[in-house]
Amino acid sequence: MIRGFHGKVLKINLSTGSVGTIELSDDVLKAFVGGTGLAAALLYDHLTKDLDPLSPDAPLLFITGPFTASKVPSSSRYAITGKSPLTGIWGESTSGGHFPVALKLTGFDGILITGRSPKPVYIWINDGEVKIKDASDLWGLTTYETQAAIKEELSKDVKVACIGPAGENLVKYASVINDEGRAAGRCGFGAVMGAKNLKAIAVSGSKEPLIADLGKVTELVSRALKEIESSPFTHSLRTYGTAGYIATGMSFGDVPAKYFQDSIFPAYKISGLALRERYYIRPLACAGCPIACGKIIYFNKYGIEKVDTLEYESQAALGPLCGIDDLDTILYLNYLCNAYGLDTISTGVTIAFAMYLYERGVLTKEKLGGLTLRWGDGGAVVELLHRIIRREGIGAILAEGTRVVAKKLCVNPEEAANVKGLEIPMHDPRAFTLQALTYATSSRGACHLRPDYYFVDQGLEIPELSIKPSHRFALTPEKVEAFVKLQNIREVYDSLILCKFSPISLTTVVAFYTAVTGIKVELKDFNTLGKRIYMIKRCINVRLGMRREDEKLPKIVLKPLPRGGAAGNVPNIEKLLKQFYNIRGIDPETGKPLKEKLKELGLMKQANDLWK
Amino acid sequence: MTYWHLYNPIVRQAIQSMCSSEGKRVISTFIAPRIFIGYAATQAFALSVASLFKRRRAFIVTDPHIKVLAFSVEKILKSLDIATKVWDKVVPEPPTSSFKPCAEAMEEFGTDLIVAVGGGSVIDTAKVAWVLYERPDVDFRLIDPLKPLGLRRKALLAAIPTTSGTGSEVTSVAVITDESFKPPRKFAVIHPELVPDFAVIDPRFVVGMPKKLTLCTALDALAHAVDCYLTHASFELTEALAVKAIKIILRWLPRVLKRPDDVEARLRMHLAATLAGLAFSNGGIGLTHSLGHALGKVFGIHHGYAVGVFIPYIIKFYSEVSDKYLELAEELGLDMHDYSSALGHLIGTFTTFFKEVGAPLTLKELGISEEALKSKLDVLAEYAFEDPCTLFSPRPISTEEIKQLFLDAMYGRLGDWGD
Repeated sequence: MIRGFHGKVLKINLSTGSVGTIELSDDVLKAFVGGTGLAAALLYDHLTKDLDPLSPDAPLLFITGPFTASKVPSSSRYAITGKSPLTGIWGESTSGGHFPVALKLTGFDGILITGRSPKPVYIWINDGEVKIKDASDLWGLTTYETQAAIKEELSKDVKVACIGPAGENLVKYASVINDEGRAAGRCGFGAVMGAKNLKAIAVSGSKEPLIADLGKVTELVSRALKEIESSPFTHSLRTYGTAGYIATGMSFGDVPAKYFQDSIFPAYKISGLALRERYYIRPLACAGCPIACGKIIYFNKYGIEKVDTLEYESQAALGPLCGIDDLDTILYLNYLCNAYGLDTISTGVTIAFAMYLYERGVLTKEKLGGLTLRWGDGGAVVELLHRIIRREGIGAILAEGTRVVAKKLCVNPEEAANVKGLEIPMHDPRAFTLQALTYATSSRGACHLRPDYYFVDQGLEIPELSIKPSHRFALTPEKVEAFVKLQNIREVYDSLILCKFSPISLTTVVAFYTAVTGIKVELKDFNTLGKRIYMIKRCINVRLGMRREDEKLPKIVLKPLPRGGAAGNVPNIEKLLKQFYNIRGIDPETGKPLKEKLKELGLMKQANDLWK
Repeated sequence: MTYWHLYNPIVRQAIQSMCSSEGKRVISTFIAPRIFIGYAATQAFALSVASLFKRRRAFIVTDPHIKVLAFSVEKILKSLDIATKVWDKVVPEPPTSSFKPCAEAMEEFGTDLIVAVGGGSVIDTAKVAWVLYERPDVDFRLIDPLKPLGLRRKALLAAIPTTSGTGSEVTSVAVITDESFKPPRKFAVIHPELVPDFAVIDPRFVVGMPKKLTLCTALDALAHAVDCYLTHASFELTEALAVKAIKIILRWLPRVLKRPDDVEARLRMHLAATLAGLAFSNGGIGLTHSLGHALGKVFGIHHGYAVGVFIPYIIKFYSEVSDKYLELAEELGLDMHDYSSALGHLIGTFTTFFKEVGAPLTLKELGISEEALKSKLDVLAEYAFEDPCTLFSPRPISTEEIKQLFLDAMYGRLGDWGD
């Protein structure tokens, strides 16, 4: 039997209240690793083109990986997967904290939720025992209030993942929040929970999964800790979190300002250093993580004593993207997003889109219900954010995300900064050419992490895969080859599930996998696993209606920037895609994985489904 | 792609990721020589180091124009039974071909102490020749500041500056002209091991400096200090040095220009240059120097004038991304009751000072015509863009914006803050 798993996923139907389990076969675990890979395999048959992601039939899968609750550093992560209500294709979102370990310790590897409860409920799983509890009193509470109330009711030691009012009101980019302000932000699974009348999941337990070779894991932990401590990246994250990037990012032209129209802004007023100068900050770590990139910020503004980590994506999306250069305002907006349960990236991009449309006269004071929306007006952004959460006036349109906003306001879709419906994150594709390919080909739409190739060109080397930095504007076949390898590895990371900030060498990660699961693998096997996982997600997307022509970037991010570190560079996305399809074995006409390729990866069913 | 290490775009991307203010808090170093200061500094230096060397063979690097100063150092060393050889073949803005003969002479002499007596060109020549003497296998164009060089196995380096500007006596930098480029181009070699072991700040070596050279070199030091302060790789140690250097230059330069033999004023200016050198070598420097390196070489303008002229323009340019100019204005005691006018006051402080000391504020005043500038804009922008100093600019800049800055400096365009 494969170790590192309990071998079962809890299955709950909220319409009927029935509870059961799904047994996980060794074959599926071997083939799909765990985490999002396993989720794709489990959900493949259930995700159909006609399925409304907000309907009772829509499955929502909380999943862990073989590393979760093991001693592997930086592995307390879980994923939420399903059909995204924002994009209509495969959705996955991961989060860290202490919830993921607690989820695994319940005795289940994941929770598959279907149906819709007739009234608000939350799920309470304690050491294998499952209860569906009334959440009527919790409905309407913020995520912070919800977590506190559930801990008050059950025990302060339980870990909670929940939604806020944004999820209840089916805002399409509502997040799921756990451990105070940790977010599974992307793809709108907060709305799926809201549609199921599911306010929260509370977990606790002590059921540790069996580990294949505990001695080896212990030995590897000591090696991994040395690797982590010797990396400068660790110390930067420990000091600043990802907020330490924004000034460096601006130097590359990587931080979009004023809705992707500029890249110059007062970065030093809102930088990681400015944050530390302005506020007292303490580190906050996920379970078993020596890096501690999380932060508690002693805010003492707006009646709020402490706020959570200001993460780079949120800092940029709620800051310069909206023309805001005031740290208090950015922290407050970030707090509101966490409290009400909104994805900070999609929120920032959607609001910046509205500001851009206001600047162009498409949105007017009248259409905005008396609101003026000038760049940098923090007060107006706070107000708009509340209207989005309440779906009030223009907020009802903005709550649908940029793709729908463009459609409803009769704006050219090329001006809406999303790929396949998912808003473009805060790494400008004009600053790192391969980031354009990331956005175009990531399994969930415009994702900055699948893979994070911009990081390679800033100096990250993965010697095991011969991945090394190159000119950031360059587009070469070797670079696309390296890109695909990194994309495969990131698919495996999201399946293990291992934090992408972990500077552990790939060799050590591979050794950990064998030591935890007992499956003997080599580096090249990771590449194959990553290929298979990428391809099954792609098969899901093709079945959900993703077309070749959806695989592109909107023109708003392909206009040359007039100044700054990325001035003039425009990635040739079509050229990138041509090489990418060729390497991956994807039909360049339809975007479908080639039948032979799928068979080669053991995806027989998918080969037959796609090529009937 | 340019052959020189620090000009390789991939290397530059990695440096760019490391030289932020956040990066500096994760790991900073402050590297300085042992510094002897004052009227008896040279004697004190000689007495202190005499016992350090087994072979007691000092190789003095200098240029033909100031070798008389080198002889005075030689005399002191000889009086301590140190064998000496004076090598006086340094050429201004040393070209790539000039180092090997110097290194060979060091080898032939069996040197265990190198003493550079001169301005920036002399000290930089000594640095690079020292590298070749210690590591003949190394191509100095490819020196990687992040990898150990292994100097000091054969000799130590002392620097006795005879100008008050470059700060090279305390820096990790050597500037070299590569004549294979048309027009010739300045390149920087940077390595922490290049910081001399000893620096001697003796005002007697600068008392006779001509007025124009005094002004030019002072402007270089001023550019080091102002630009370093505003650069976000600068931190508390380097900021303190930079501010002090600025204050000294603002106060003492007019006096030394009035009375070039005023030794007290000379000592202050000499110290200011060293302070500014320590500041930028450890805290970074930005666009004054990338633009100035290009301008100086393409138009044959003295380095100090070429970098100094950009000071007011880069203060304005940086201000769009950073409020650090407010801190500088405060440090200089400017009126801060209204933040919106602080930038104007700061720029005004420098433009007024430039006029007082007779320093050029525009490229026109440097004798460059509009036509000449426009005909060279492309190459100026290319050289300036690729200069390593550009990586330290708090505000990233494109080649088009560099051209704009050159044009602004041509016409004296400082917006509301110029005259």
